[in-house]
Amino acid sequence: MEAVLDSTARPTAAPLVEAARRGDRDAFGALVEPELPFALGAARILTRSSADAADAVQEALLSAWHGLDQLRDPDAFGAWFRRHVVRAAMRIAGRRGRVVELDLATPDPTADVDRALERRTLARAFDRLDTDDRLVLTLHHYWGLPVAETAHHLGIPEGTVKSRVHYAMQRLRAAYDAEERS
Amino acid sequence: VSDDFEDLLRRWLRERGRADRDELAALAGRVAVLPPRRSGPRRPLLLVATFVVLVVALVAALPRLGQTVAEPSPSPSAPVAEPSPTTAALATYQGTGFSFDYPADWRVISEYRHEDLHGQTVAVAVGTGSFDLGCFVIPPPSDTPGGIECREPVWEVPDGGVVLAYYVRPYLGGVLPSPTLLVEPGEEATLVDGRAAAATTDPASLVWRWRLENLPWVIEARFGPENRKVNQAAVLDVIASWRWTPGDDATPAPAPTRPPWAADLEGALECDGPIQDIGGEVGSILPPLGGFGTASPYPWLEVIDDIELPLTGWVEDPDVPWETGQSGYVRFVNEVDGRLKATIVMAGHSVDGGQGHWSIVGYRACTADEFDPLRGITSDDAPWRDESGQVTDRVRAHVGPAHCGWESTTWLRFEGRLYLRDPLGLFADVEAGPYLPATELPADAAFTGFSSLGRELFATPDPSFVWVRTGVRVERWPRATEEFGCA
Repeated sequence: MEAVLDSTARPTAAPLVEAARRGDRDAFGALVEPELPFALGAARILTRSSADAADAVQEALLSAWHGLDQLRDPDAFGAWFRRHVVRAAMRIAGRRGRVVELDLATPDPTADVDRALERRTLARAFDRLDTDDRLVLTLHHYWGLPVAETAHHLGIPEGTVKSRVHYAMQRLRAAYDAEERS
Repeated sequence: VSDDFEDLLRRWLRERGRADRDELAALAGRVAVLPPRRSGPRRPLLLVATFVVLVVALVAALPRLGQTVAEPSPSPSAPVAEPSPTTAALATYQGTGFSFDYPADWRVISEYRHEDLHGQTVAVAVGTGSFDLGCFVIPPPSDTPGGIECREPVWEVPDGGVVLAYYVRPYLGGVLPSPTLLVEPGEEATLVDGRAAAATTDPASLVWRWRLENLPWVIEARFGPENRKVNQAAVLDVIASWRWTPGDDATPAPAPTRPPWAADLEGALECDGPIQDIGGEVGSILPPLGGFGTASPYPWLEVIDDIELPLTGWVEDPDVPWETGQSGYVRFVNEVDGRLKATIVMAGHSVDGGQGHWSIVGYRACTADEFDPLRGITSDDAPWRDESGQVTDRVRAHVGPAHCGWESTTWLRFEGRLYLRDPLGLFADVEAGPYLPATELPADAAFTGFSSLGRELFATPDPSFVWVRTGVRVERWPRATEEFGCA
């Protein structure tokens, strides 16, 4: 009896990775394209700048392209590429060393004013966090990585991820409250 | 923390992270122009190819930390012969602030040390394989003052071999702090020369690790699958022999020559508003140890133009004879109307009138809007010049006013029109199209002849956009479709 293929299973990325390793840019493009929206989004959150985010993703593209031989599991390409993005974004964020206001919550006059103010307050509170807090919250709440993958991403134990998320949320909440009061 | 707040955070993160279609298209387009892949099992990435030569030269010139002479690291393709780890003969490694004994038939694989604005990067490795911390210093001139480029450490442990490394790396722009030691699941509390540590030393594991209280350092051992028990016993003997010495890396003493003016940099500033968070106070970063840095402090001043600080107007104060080696610290200040608005402290030393090792160790400034735009305070405010190199008012640019929250924008006036560098899309409603951070010059774009700090202005017959090219990067700045201002 023939095995029934799982129609929901993702095709393996191994052929694309192999082709990319041989220098096939189209194959590499096919690998990275699904990652780009969230990569750019996370880079924007971490660097607080669209221009820096684009720089970070470009750096990540280049480092991933040249580092393909270090990728052990082709099917883990997405997570591996995201690590390149995070490293590049954090490096650029650290290099900038300054806060860039990213107040995207410019109120839409047709939108609910309370909601707009809530988002603006949250934006300011988030920007008050240090880079480590922003990073762990971005990985966990924006990328939606489970604790285990976040731990793998950061090279820290799972228990540490949980405590970092917990304390980062506490600090964010405190910053939010402070922004509200001010 | 309520679930509602987490939901709010998730929604807002999605909103903030929403990618613009044009940006995504531009990035996807970058894939097609990637350079040819370099072949080989492991390749350092450097943004500019010419840095490779500089980095190789730097790495070759690294100072040796201890008294033990290091042998060249083996290449991954030519691992060293497996030694017998059972010999009783011991060698002593004397590092800066610590020492330990190790089997004499092991080698010193790596000795690396670098310190800059981002903290310390140190690695010492002994054993029978190879270890590469994966970090490279990028010297000036570059766009990264104090820059260090790190990838994952690379371990090569032959069958039957062992590598033991003591290291700290810049942790995502800073140093991973360990204010207290929490023993995580899978770890056990232990001591390393009397210091509390959390250790994973499961005999079944090929990787052992010690984290140390109040220290960002990690000691890590990796074992080959063969001969593991013997090597693990040898590693435990190394740990048991570990000795911290006074003035070690963990508790760095202030540099003995640090002058009083190098303390409390923030307190010295006379800002009307907030102080930019750039780097740390002097003392939180150790002065360079030698081998890195520049022959004089001045090159660093030439590479700070991507930070909102003045390009000009820096004055060395006090005027100290660093060239003669009589001073290990230099301070540069920038004043506006006699009030101190920015200060940079560099530390280093000079030998024989020039072979010094200088680096930035302290950096504080008011926000950009407190500097005089006429002095060309930032790259965005710098004057534009015509083809003859003369400053011109046919192109004028300035940073958006901070008191309206528009400091992320740059306003450029050209041919009577207003163009905006607007990375955050603050003025999307009045722009001819989105600002693009990385794009290509259109075929009909022509150089206007105007430039500013290496940026060149291009225009097309359609005045809806201008293009600003910096090196290989091209930005598209949209025209504002209506005039507006900030009260």
